[in-house]
Amino acid sequence: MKLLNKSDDEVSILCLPKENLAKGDYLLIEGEENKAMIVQVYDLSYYNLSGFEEDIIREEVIMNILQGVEKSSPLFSNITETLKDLILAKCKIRNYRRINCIPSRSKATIRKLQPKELDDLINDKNFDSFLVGYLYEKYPYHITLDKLDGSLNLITGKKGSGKSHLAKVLISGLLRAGAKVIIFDLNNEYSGLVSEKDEQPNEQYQKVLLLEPGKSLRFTFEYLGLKSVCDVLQNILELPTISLREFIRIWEYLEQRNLLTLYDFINFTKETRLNDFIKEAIISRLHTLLLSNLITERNSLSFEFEDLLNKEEGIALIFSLASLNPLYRKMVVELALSKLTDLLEKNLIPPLFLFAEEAHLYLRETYWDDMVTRMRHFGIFTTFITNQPKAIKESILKQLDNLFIFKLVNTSDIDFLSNICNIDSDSIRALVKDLRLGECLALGKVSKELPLLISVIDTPFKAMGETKLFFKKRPFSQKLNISSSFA
Amino acid sequence: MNLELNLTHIVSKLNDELAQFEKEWDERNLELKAYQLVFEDKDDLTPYFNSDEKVDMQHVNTINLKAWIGAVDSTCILLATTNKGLLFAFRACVVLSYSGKPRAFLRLGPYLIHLNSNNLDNMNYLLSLNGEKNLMNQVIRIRIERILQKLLATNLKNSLILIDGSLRYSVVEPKPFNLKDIIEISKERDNHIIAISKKTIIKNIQNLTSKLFECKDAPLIIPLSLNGEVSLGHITITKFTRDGIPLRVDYQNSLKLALSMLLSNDSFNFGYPESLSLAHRLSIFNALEISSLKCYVKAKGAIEVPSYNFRTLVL
Repeated sequence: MKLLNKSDDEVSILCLPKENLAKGDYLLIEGEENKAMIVQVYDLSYYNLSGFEEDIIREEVIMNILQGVEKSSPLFSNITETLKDLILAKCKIRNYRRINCIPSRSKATIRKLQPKELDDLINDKNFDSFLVGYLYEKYPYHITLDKLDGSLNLITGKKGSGKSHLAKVLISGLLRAGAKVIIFDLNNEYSGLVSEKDEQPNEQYQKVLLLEPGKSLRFTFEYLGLKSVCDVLQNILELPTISLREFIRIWEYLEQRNLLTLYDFINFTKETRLNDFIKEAIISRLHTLLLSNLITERNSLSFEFEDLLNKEEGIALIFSLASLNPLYRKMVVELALSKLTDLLEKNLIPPLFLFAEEAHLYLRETYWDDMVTRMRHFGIFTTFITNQPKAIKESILKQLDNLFIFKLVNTSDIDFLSNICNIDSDSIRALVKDLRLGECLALGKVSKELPLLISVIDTPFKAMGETKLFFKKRPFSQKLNISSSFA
Repeated sequence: MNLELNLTHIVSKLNDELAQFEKEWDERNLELKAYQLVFEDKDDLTPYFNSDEKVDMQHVNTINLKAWIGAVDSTCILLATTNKGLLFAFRACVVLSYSGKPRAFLRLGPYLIHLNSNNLDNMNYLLSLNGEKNLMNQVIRIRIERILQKLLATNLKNSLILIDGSLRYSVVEPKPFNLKDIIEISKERDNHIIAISKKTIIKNIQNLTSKLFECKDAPLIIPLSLNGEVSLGHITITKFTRDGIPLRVDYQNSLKLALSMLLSNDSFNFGYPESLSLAHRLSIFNALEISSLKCYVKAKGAIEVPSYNFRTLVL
């Protein structure tokens, strides 16, 4: 390999096909006087010597129409073939050994950075870690727990690219480390965390709890408290402020008399002297709460976070949102987040890792900023999972600690992400568009700001949330050689 | 004081001399009115001169005659100057056509040749030392082309050999297989030879090409009567096809037969035979091959030394 050129943070390297460079590989360029830099290959192309294309066209056309006999020196033919196969690796400088000192172009030695050396650069061995995938040359890539602790993360990519799979891998790793995880499951896919591919329960069986709103997930007014109920009424059911004031007055009255049930609330509101409009406004919202079946009268049926979240071992609470209509979905999320924030504020539960799939479908506008400001300080560390990165507010994206990008084909999405990343847009564009199923580009704390291409591990979890298809594969269909070689 | 006097004397004398020169070199007498010209700042321009001369333009009645055509062309480039001589790379090609289609090719090279005192006679060596690169280039091209032309002449029968250029006996003809030998062998085996030149320096021909351009008929020829120093055959200006460009064509034996063979067995692009065009395309070096050749030379142990351009240093 030879250093050909450098312009700003870009380096061009000339290499031969036998060097087997691939996009995402890291190279170490070392020169004299301790001058060295680490660069990452972001694009590979043939080195176009002038006249080469003309030569290819000429040979192709002429050889197709004519039989030919050629006599020349084999050494010359070899040299020509080698020149035709020269590869130009476009790289971006990721690190200098001595700031801004570049090695000699003629004398520098260039070699592929061994994945172990890369791993040493990224990971602090003083923290526990878990296996997430593989770097190049199938070297295991672990994420240390400190990289996710207190972090705001985004997993994005087109549908079917492996986003939820990575989320499950992260959740599984966090659970093993004793973390408390909340999951807003929009497509019923996280219930597979508890079973093997053959549907037998796995080691996480005891650590994952599926909460079905209206069934296993119900609360009493008393447990939720005035603030959480007011949050739902105001933010989701849009109860006007004057009516909310009356609601709070009735709440306090009934609370003093130990009559804080939904039925008591409805009956009392009907009978009390109130402006008819206000009365109607409150009663209609209470009926909505009643119909949602989220509120129960019996303490024994009320779900309580504290007991589960204060256990020593890890636990994941999956809020199943799939079968809910959009309004009830928003109510569940509002109640849960409001109550959890309340508990965290009072230090009644430990910090939580929240995984939110397609959060724009159920998260109210004002929560977005809360996620990165207030709630983060209380101890809710969110991972958004979406195939529409633009649906997430830019103010959130700019504060991301970790970003995992799976294959994206929409150029506007790629451009959008490249604008919010700390690395150059050329790299993002070039690396993301060629990702394969299950491969992602990891950026941020998890990679010490070095963009890493990772093949996410296959897990023994039962896959859920796959697209339900109409047409089935023929049982004995034979793969063509070409398709198997690209699989 | 003496110095100033001397200087005045010298300047005055030079001025007198120049006055004399001006008298003799009077551009007022330069008459260019109505002259046709093409400026020479672009390479390979063929002038289209209008001429009022009466010419003997003839239509050739050709017949359909199936025969093999063998077209020969070559390329030679000066690759390096060594401390002992000149290093050239050359390549040559034969394209065989039949019944309107090119059928096969034979390509030789690239090969290297180092012209130095060991392989050149004294005169040519002195010429090479004096930088007669074009002449050396001609020496190599003619030598390799004659080998291939002889190969065709001895192996084909009742066929047509196409040569790029003319049937002029070159000053650098090789001894064993010169053009005369090839013409003789061809005659013995009933082969015809046609030499086609894309560009000619003969002014008479340049003046006549416009006549052929204007005529929509084809094939058309204008026979020329030039002496044997210019060609070993007969010289014509020929337009092979209706859309064709008139070319200098030298032939041996029967023009009618040779043209019949050519028109029946080759295809044409702007009146230029495809076989010759292909032979040219297969011979030339592109930038990639020149790079490869330089690597090849180094791989053979040559040592590249620093060089400088004296002209840019001093001017």
